[in-house]
Amino acid sequence: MAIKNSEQYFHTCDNTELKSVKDMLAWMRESNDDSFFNHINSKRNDFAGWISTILKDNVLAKKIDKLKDREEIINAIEERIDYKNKKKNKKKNIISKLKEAIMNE
Amino acid sequence: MNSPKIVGVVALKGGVGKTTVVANLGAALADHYNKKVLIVDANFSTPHLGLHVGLVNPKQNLHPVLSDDYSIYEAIYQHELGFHIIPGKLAPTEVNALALKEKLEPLREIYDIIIVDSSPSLNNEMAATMDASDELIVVSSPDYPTLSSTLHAVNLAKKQNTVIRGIVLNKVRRKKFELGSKDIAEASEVKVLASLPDSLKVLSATAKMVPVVIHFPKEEISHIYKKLAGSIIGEKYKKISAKKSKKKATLLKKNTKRKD
Repeated sequence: MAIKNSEQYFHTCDNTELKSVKDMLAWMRESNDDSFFNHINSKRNDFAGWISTILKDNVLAKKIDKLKDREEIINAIEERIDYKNKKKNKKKNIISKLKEAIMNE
Repeated sequence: MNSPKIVGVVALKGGVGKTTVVANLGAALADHYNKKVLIVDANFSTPHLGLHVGLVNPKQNLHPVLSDDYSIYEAIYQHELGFHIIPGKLAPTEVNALALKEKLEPLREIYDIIIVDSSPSLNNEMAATMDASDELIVVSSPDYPTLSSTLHAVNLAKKQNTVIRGIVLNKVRRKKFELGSKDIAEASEVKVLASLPDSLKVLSATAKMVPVVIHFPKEEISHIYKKLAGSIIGEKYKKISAKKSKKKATLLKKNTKRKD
């Protein structure tokens, strides 16, 4: 879900505004090493903090906070997005099955 | 949408809060909107509407009316909160449920609105409410089992060509794991009229046999009820001083008087 309040956007060092996990994932795939490791290095992990405080996803934040490798971080984010989509689709599937079973009686 | 005369409140599952909704809509329409309101307990097998408004063991009730033993006018109680009520028989006997429509028809001339509490079972009792009502309100809660029952009720109403005004979502805790209004509206293809929070104040008011809109008029749930009541009769809800409602609540000590 994209953030609506512009004050909560993540501003990267290469002047990109990130509004969601998907934005962040796209930026991580495309940014150069200098920009990427400016935010994630042995001393800091700016994304973990943003994910926790703004996006309120502590599970992903904790996972990201432990990782330093770009591919591993990207994989972790992709897995989390997949998990959330599956969860969302599960709800939709149940509702759809109920509707099909009852409304078409 | 025109203002309906007879509104049936249905749910195909017990414990959803149907009777609580009826009692509170009745109280809100009488107390806040000064309407002539009659609430009717047509849950013939398990009639508890009286217990929500301080009417414990009424001498007259709807059951003998349906058997033509009494006139319906003899079963009407005038409540201190301004509405009238036809209770059910606490120790129920078999009734001719489908006579409900015929019995309620003459009362259209007397009341601005009649709200009927239905049975939660898929039987003649619910069919009677659907048959007697101009419109239905389906009470649901944000979980799959209740959604399933809600879809059944909506399907049944559609088959009977009864107009569904909308769904009232009750006992909402605003948790992520719950179904949202959007989920329920999309699944049922019926508008969600209101989301009522799962409030301890409702239990507290029920224990006192007073509708929460009267007992705790300033609570969020009471404002939602009053707004919902207004939407049914096509009037906009305006907040008023809680003092007036509180005064009326104290009158409940006297409970009810039968209309002779």
